[in-house]
Amino acid sequence: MNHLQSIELSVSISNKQVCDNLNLNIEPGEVWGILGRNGAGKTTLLHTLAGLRSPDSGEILLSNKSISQLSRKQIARQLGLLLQQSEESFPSSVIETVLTGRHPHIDNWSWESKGDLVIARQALELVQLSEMADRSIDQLSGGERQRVAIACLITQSPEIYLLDEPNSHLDLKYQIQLLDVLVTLARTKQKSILMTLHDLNLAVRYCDKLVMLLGDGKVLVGDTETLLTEDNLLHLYNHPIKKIDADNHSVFIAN
Amino acid sequence: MLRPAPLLVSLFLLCIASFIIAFSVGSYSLTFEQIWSSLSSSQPSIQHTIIWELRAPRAYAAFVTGGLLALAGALMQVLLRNPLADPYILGVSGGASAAALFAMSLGLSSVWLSGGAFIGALISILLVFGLSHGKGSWNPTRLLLTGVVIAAGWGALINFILSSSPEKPLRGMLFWLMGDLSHAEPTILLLIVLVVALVITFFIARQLNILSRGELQASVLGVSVKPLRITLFLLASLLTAFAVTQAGSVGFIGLIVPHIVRLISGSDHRLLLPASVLLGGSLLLISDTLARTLIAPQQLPVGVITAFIGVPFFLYLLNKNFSKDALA
Repeated sequence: MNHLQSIELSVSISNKQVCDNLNLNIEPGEVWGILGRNGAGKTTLLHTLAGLRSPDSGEILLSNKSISQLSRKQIARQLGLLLQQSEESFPSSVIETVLTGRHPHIDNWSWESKGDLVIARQALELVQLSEMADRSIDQLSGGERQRVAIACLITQSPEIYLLDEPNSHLDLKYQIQLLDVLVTLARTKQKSILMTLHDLNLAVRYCDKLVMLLGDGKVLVGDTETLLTEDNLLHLYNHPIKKIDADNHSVFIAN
Repeated sequence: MLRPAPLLVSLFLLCIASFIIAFSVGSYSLTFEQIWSSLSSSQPSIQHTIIWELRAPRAYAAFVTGGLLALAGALMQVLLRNPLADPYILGVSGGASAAALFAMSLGLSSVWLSGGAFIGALISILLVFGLSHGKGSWNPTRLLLTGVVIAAGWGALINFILSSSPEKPLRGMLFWLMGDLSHAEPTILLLIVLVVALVITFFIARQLNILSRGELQASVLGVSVKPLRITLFLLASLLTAFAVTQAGSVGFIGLIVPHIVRLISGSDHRLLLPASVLLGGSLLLISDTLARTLIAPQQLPVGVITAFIGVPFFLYLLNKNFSKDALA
């Protein structure tokens, strides 16, 4: 089974410590959230875990192999990352963009097969963009582009999904629907998810475990229920947040 | 959007048509039958000589140079992820021009001229590569700015050579700067370079599709970005060096041909690159035919024609594209 581990991981960005000796063990089927203030290093941590930048010290293991020993293609078959920003210098159609997700699974000389196209179309169906398959990507709204990016990630079909603010640009309906889609994937197909979030109510709804980046290199790791206390949140955001216990779940409101 | 097969077939027909026009038009016009009989037999005749010794070598040089430029332009655009990039933007042609003009001002023969131009282009390539891969992070903007500034440096050197050289070689120098095929030396090497480059680019074409979604996204999708970027840079620069050595700085082919293909058939590099080669070759061949016949017996530098055709055509396509956006 594929899983992602970090061992005594230390990451810093321009002299700011993001984490110090961080040990994570993300098992298949688990959904993890990363919480932290603006600039706490959530994106940096995700990029480090994806092997896009090297840590100051420590190691990242992907299915027990050090990520620094793997080629980008080997990594891409197991681990996908939803980026916060997209860049389309020469816009292509929605379906072509989504099909790029198959790249790690196809040889350099081969073309996408019918099977790849089926996978891409199914992913478009999941994000409800089937009708826009032939539209040019630069004619889409921000939210629609985000859905294309998610469809591309689903098309890549990795074992580990790293999501950098999966909700950005999405309206309330799609925030819930797309997280439902992704979390269902994790639960039923034994994939794991690690995502940065700003919405505590979504965190409590979807995440089994949390990573709280406190901003000074200190990190809290644990079960969602135990970590989401008013004290921790005050420390985390430097702003009071009220926790209200409703029927069988908690609701968070910023004071 | 045109499907791959019809697009490539029509471009292929365009190539044949442009060769036929290039063979038939000139101070001595040839009919289609005359061309056909001289191509198919080796009987010595005046038509045979005109085609095999004058028009065919020049048509070949024009076509291959156009193909090299269009391919180099398409590669530069994806390397810099900038639609304004052309083969000359990183100063390759500046280095070649400075060296070629220097050879001309010394009155050296044409072998020295093309050899010098090639070496000048290589120096420029190494200079830009070294400076933009120095300490610190790499990004397209850094490469672009380095290249543009180096190009400006070559520009100053070129102006210096122009203003300090005697009257006699000046006309040749100006033609060289504008892009001119009358001194091209058509060798088989050019075609080999073009074909090898096409094979390499076909191998990396899908990676280029992904690279145009940004370097981070490309890494995430399993592309090893750094080797790809270096391959692209060296390939595009070398293709440009070969083209410039043949024909000086012929403008616009490398800039507009990839855009025309994108507007017709989308951005998939597996189709874009071979289609650009065919269209670029045909366009330069047609332009060169016009250049040597328009005000015959005087010849124009082909760069003048490509700009005359290129500017309005590019503006037309651009406006059409933007008005389509406005409706959407």
